[in-house]
Amino acid sequence: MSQSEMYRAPRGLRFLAPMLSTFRLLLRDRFAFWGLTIFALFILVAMIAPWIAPYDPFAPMMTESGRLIRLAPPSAEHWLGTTAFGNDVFSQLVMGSRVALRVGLVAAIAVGFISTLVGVISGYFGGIIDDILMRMTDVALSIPTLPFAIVAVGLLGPSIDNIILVITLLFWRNGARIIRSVVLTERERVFVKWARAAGASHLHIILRHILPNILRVVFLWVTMSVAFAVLTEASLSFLGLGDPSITSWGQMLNTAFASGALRTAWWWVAPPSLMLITLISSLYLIGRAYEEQTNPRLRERT
Amino acid sequence: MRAYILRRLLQSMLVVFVVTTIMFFMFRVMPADPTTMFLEGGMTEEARQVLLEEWGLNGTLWEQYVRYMGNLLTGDFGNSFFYRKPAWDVLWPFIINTLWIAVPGLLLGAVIGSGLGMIVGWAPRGGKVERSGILLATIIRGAPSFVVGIMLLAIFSSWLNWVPGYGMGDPQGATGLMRYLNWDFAHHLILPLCAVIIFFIPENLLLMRSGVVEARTEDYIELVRAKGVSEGRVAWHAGRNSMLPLITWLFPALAETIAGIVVVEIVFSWPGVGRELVLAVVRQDYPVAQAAFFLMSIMIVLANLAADLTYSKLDPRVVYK
Amino acid sequence: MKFAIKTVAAGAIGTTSLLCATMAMSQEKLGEIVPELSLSYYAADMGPVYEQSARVLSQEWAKLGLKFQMRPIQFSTFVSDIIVGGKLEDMAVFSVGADPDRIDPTFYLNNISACGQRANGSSWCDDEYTKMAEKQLTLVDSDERLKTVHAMQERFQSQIPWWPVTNTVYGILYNSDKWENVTNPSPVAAHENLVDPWLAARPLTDDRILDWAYLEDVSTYNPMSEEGATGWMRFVYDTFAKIGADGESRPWAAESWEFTDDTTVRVKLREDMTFHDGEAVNADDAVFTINKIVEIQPPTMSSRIGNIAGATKIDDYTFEFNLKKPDATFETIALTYLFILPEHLWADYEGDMANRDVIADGVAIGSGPFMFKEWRVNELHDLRTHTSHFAAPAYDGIRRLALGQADAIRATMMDGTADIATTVLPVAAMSDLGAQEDFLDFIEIPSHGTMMTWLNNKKAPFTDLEFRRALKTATARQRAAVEGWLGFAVPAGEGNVPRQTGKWYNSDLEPVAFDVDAARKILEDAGYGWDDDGRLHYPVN
Repeated sequence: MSQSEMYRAPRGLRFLAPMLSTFRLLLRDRFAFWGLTIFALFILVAMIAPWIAPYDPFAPMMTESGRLIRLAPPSAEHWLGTTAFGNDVFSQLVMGSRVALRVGLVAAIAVGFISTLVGVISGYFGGIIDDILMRMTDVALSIPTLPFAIVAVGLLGPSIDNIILVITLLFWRNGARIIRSVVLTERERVFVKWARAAGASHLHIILRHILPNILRVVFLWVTMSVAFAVLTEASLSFLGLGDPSITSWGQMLNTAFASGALRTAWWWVAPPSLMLITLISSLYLIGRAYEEQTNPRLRERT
Repeated sequence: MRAYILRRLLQSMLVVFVVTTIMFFMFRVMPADPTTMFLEGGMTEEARQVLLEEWGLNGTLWEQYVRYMGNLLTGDFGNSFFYRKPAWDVLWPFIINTLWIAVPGLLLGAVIGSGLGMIVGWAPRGGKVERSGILLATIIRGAPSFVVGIMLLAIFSSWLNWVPGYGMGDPQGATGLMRYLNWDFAHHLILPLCAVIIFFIPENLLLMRSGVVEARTEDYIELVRAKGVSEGRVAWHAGRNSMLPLITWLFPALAETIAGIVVVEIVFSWPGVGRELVLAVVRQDYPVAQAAFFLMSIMIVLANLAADLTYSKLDPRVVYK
Repeated sequence: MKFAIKTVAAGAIGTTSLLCATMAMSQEKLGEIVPELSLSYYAADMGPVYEQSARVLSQEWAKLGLKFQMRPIQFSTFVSDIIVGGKLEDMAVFSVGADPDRIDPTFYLNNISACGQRANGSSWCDDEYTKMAEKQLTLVDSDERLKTVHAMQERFQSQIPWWPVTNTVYGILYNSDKWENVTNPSPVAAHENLVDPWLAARPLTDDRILDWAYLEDVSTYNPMSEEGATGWMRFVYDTFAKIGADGESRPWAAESWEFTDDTTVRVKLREDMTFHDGEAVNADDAVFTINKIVEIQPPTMSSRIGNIAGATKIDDYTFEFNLKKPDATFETIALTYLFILPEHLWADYEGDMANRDVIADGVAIGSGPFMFKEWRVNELHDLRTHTSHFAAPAYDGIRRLALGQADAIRATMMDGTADIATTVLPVAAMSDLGAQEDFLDFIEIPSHGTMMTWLNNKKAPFTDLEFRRALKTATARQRAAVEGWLGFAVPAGEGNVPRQTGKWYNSDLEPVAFDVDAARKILEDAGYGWDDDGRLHYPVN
């Protein structure tokens, strides 16, 4: 990985320096700036969702005469209309951001943690440990993603924790490989060899010399994992394997699809679709800028 | 080199073995006894035993496992609980149907994507073409395939009414090979195929663009340019050298597509192997689900193997341990 | 990660229970807290109405101080685990279909209510009730049987082991530009076992093939191993009788039948029937089929043929069924179910008949109104009219399209590929389409199909009759019909037999009106109490 050339050995407490510098680089990229802004907006909406949503997402909307307001187009009372079951689309949409981000962030952090652990141990120690861990990764890599998720969630039951678990089981593998390859490069650096010659413990070397230099890659992988997790959750929910007690965008599309309302109720179908595209693209924009800004050969010469 | 190939082969076989084992136990842990499906009205115990034996579900878990692996070696995936015939007989027509959208989808996606990637990569840095190309590619890449499918359905099938949005052909159509070689089939193929192509364009575009941008900094490009050839041919040279990562990416991508095409098949009611896998899971038809899973895993393993071997063949810099 | 979640969850549970314990101590008259209850229901593969219904019902039950965990379960798993597997954890909301043979109350009275029955998933076992259940089966005298059936419902209503919530309203959407005389089979869902609406339909255009937009595939054309598409099989293989919407069996392949004694039924076959290969149908074929089935006892058929001892030929068109014991349901359940196989195509078959691949062997041949033409797995089934059949329809064939999802069914109906749709597309959506489009007509089919609430009668708090009573009183049948089923269901009656079965329903049962306050009163009187969070606690014992 050539981008590691850019960093010198960390000094003292400047543990997070590489991350900060990467962050500064990110802000210089216009796309990444927008990506970060959009992502921040999503987080904001998710945090204050209960105060924005005008109704309970599953409350049936009734007329004064006691009839269900089904498939009503957007109006002043229902900004994005209602579903076939008389639920308020806008409320479901806003509350759906919570599920997407909860799954995305928790799963991504778990993925980041596991891939770093496996990648670092495997890359740093090498030998038989590396062999065993990498064969495990090979096995994990040959499991088809979505089919596995379908079977596993079908088996464990469709709760949000299970979905997070399945996503974590699926995506640590790619990250572990990438991180291992970075660690392999880092391990061969002069200062690591010096530290080892000076009798520093493995833990010390990993924490002080290896980890800070790979944090950037880990961060990139976590960002991408948020996108994968959101995507996988949405796909599972669309297939009817989402958590039924909370509303999510994939689940909204599933209900619209199962109700045969796909072709008529655009106000029910378009908003969750757009939310998914916007959220996932914003993450990809951040991820892309990472690669771009840290790879000197791709960087714009200004 | 030969030792390397041999080692990779052995590794792949080990991986297949482990995945199959995991799958076997995973499906057996599922909380179901398939005979109970047929028991709503009440079935005698003897009748149940007969069924269990017919499906190889008698004996201990270990015995079942050994028997299953043994049968697998002879190409026997067991009998479908639902269709009551060999799982392979059930699956192969679906595999063909899936290939119809997966292979052309991936190839067209790769050609269109890398073509566009070359244009975007060769465009002036920071210019309009580059910026809008990247932005558009990223947005499309961020669209889940079922969202793309739904949008295609809504626009081209429902609103414009140009193409049908379900199934593989009019029921009055021909049978046998002829059913694939007629206009009606193509008509039904368009939308799901487009969904797959759209799925692949951005990835190819971005990969190719990075390759071209990197290549632009290489010395030999300056040499080519110095020779006075046209700018278009220079771009071609740069692009050609960026093909390598793309080609090695294609194999695993195809394998993942065939597995990941589930959602597209469901949106378009395409009778493919992914849709059948979902149905098999819902019906608890484990032999079919297991066989589908096994085939997908094998495909991924083989694709990775092929990618590694091609890469080692094409790129002299790869060193073998 | 797994461990992280587990630990956090365990921590959370620990804290909660600790909190509850403190609370319970502060209010001395409270017993243990009633724990969170799991509520299982059909997952989205059965359409979105079950989730909505479960949600609506649990909203009202929650007002009793209960908490629910929603658990969607795929249809086949639901059947194997909860209905017949005895794995109902706490509560379930699901439905049983309006099959023709369920107009006879035995399914509701015996199969899902009596001790030891496989499908008695609510695990209620009442000896007095079960004795009556066994008795009603053998009462060939209709009046006496009716009395017992009514008495059973009274007993059931006094115990409230489970209860019906709504009765399903089905629908048929059909292309009225191309077809006429598509008739309403109420109170039975559009089932191929009926003459309506299929055989009576008449084409109005040159397109003389009836295309049925359907969800799922058929698994085989061997009627001995078929389970999920019994009706479709009966298009190809004739049954001795067909069941009418009134629940009475009427002649079909059998011209007439009579009980010559309690365990013998003499059947006279029609003389004008041929198999699809042209051979005549006679008593030899019927006797061969029945005796073969009795001999090999195909697993999927065993529940319906268990009481048959065999058949004897009398003359070319007459034979007798021999039963093991008197059977009041023989006419409605067995005669409408048993089929006739051509002896000349099956007699020499050496293998296991129940597993014969009839398509591969080219013997998907019966005497029914349609002949097998083609099957493309998971795509379509194509049957052609057997023109010499005595009830041959006025069109050339029928096709069943396995479309897999609601949107495709809607699309095929809109573009004219399909002519008729009966399921999967929610009934409300069918009704909307019928109202919007001139060429589509919608038929509403009120039926005896029932959505019910099941309880695990072996587990607290459901072991307490007063708790069950309170829960039933707080069951919002009207809301479930309106909000869950979007108006395409009606609030169900009392007892366990649907009102729509006519005379079998005991209309003297005391109605239980929906009243949350009354339900809370019942719980209070039984010693239950509520903590400061409003959660329900058991009485102190």
